Amino acid sequence: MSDEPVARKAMRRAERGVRDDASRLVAAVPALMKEAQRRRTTGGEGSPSLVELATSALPKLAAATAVVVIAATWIVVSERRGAAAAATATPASLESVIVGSGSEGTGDVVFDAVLAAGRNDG
Amino acid sequence: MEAAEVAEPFSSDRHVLASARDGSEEAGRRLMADHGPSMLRTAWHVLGSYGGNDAEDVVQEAFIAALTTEALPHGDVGAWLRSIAARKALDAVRGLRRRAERPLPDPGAGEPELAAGGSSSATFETLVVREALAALSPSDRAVLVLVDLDGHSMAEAAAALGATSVGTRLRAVRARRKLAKLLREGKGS
Repeated sequence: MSDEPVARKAMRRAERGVRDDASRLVAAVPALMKEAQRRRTTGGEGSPSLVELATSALPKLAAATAVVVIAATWIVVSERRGAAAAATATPASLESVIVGSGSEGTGDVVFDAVLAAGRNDG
Repeated sequence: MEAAEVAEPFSSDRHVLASARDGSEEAGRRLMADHGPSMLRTAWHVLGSYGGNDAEDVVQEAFIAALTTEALPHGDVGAWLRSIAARKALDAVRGLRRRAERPLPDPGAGEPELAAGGSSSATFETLVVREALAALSPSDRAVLVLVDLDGHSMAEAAAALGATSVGTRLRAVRARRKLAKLLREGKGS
């Protein structure tokens, strides 16, 4: 069953008994029209205030900051992991150079050739 | 012929609005006298305070906005004024919340008006309805006022409240469901 008729009936029911006397509002009309005239000439209504701008911009800035912080954290963590992996890999490379069993070589073509010749002789 | 007869009151209201914008105090008074009461009721609904003075402040702001804005109503001037009142009431509630100046309006603020007339069972039922409406968010109430009470389309209500049409439709469905549930619970207790 649709809730729309229930809502409509409830809204009408809530209005019952209220005094919707607009006499004070009618009496205030001249002052309101002067204020409207003043705002038209100053353009106050057209330009949003700093508070309104800040209110709409702050959540977006917060979201952007959160994204930047997450990205920076991810970069730092991944760099540290890379550095740690390099630190554990470096001794093995040195060992392979010293022992001469590394398959990747030392990175120096001449030195590799000397080591290979030594191994062949031995 | 009939179309002209139907459209006449709207064009007349538009003329009153245009004259008020041009500075005619008489037109301004007529505009307020004709539409002030319905604008007050709209503001009360959204504020959740039936009979509170805040509603008058909201209507005054809405009236100034109606005279200041460049936009013109497409159809019924009264419905257009009420949509401005709903938006201003919503802004007022948000402003109060943001500044945390005081708690939200008391839903029982309309009790003195209720005590003036009507049977006790009708009064009780009205209070139950007001309490249920007060449990909804101001945005929910604003959508219900514009769509279910004033007969605006979802697109018109969305434009008035600065929301999307889809979001307004979803909000209306949720608000109606919640209100119906609250009323069932309220009547059951």
